[in-house]
Amino acid sequence: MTLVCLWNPAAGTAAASAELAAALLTLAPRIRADRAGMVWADARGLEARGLAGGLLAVIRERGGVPRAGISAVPVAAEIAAVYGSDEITVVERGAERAFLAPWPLAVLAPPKELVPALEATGIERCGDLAALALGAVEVRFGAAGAALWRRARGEDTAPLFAPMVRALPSASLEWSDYVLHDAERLLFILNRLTGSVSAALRAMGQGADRLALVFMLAGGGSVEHGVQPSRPSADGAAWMRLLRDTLERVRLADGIVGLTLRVDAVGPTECVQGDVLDRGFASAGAAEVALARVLDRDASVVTPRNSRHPLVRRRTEWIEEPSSLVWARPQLGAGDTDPEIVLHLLPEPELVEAETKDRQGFAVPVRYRGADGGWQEIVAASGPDCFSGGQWETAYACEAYCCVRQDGELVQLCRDARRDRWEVHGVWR
Amino acid sequence: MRVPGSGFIVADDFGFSSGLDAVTPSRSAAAHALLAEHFPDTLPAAQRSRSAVPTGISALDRIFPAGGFQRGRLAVWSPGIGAAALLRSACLRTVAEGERAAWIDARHLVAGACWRTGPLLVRPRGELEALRAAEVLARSGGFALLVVDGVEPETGAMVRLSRAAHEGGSALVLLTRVTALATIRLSSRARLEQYGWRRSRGSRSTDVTAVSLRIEARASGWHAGTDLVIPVWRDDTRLSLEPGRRDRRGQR
Repeated sequence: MTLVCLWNPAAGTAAASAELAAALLTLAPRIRADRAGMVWADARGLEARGLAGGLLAVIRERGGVPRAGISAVPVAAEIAAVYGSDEITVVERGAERAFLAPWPLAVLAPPKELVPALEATGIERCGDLAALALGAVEVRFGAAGAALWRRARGEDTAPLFAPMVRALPSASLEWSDYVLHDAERLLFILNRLTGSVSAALRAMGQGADRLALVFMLAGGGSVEHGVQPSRPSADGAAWMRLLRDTLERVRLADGIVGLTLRVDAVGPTECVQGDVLDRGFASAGAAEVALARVLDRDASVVTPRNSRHPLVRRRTEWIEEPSSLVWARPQLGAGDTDPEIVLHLLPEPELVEAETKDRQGFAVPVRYRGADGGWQEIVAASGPDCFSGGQWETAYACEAYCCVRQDGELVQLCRDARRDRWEVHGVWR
Repeated sequence: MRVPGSGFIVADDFGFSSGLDAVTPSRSAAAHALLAEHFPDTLPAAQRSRSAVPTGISALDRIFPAGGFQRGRLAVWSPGIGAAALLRSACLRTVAEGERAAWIDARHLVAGACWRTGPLLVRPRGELEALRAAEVLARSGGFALLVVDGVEPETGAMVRLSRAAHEGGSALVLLTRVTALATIRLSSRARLEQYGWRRSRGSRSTDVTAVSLRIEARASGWHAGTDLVIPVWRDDTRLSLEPGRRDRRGQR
């Protein structure tokens, strides 16, 4: 960023500077009035010397002999404007430290409490301070000294102008001759709007993270619906799928005379560095797009985060993952791929009727009857594993058996000791 | 030059090592074949070789006509003990080989404590969403192996899935009783008399340690079977202390 600092010693008050700033805005896109006599202009992307000349002419019309300093570093531009001998002083990029070096330290306006200490150590010029090591300066002069040291080296990075907020793309269409009620014709319009928004997003190199669909109603007023995908995208086809779903759900009180599609938030479209030796690398992009499509409408991709809770059902927290998970390359060791019959949990425990026999004081199931009405004979029941706890949350107490049925299937049969009833919790598959 | 015992061919077989040697058409074809064999993903989906996706269990792979699940084809495995275990193992093996596998859990039966990281675990909102997700993922060409568990699709849905698998080149396996349009049908049957048992400590009960299965594969003009023994997962956490409490057992 190139900055132009304008200094007019004849300017009166800060209010006058503010008034002047308004006049200068006709020449420069962004102006900032800091203190009396000093105005900053953002010359990024412009020819700085020409801009400074124009700005000086405007100031001169109002009286005074203004000067301008041009630099990428604010402190250098300020000193060039205030103390420079020429009408316009340009400090080239990279030459800021050399430009500042001969100036006395007072031009940096050091804090009053530091001045005696600096004088006592014989540091008189910016170059003297800039030549010292940061550690030495920090030890002797503290944080204020370190800040002064940075300014003396031309490392002043204080942002004078906030980053420009780029307007997010939007597209709209209004019609006054007729009123639309059918989704098909709206889809046709929406398709055009999506195309232009998508093209604008691609030009920005970003993807929309949130869209707003605004319906203007014939009776006045508007209704807004938000749409959010699983990942930032500039893909018009992906957006159309979501917007079509939204259109199917929307119920409006009146006909529509206008439609606006507005991007509310953008995010970077992810670009992952791949490995040419990865067999799945070439198709990862296609897999990610397909997965994003699935995540938008139908499903979630999850990974488990397991605790050591004694109940398997309460042990897992499912973490929803983004579609970029397809790029991950899990490292599997020897033995990780070996098959194992593991427990699968029913979505909800299934209440069953069980016949039991006594074994060491426990009621052990010998057969059970489920919702289908047929008895399932149990060949062997290992257990029980007795669990109880959760007094502070949801209390539980159960005796769990791993039962082998006559048909060879393995089921987890649990006696809920609190309610004295039997449930099938899962099957080993 | 062939590296003894490795099955790999190093570069000079193709003339790459010497800038003076021209690459003959036969060598070019050999290089192409080698790339297709080791990096099938680098080829367009339409040109991908129809080599099978092996399960990694040699006894099981032998009963498949193609040595594994055929890419671009729909396979059906009747639900029964061992089916999910063997398909999960096949998914893990596919991921270990550097390809991509996904498990679509339509009924949300997978227990997090028993799930091994590797294949993508997709949890759809219902059975219809599971079928739709399977179709989209199969058609993408980004997944070597797709398993759909807990669906009972109608014939129309099977047609769609079969087409999607064909277009994308994925091996699509359904754990279902519906067998229409499947190129291969698998079933597993428990052999209770061959189960492995262990006497529980301090108890009169016996724990089952391994199950014995008879796996059968049927395709047009093909019927083969094999016997397998698979260990049973034990929940080691069942005897742990309450969550959050430090385990001081064995410490003085």
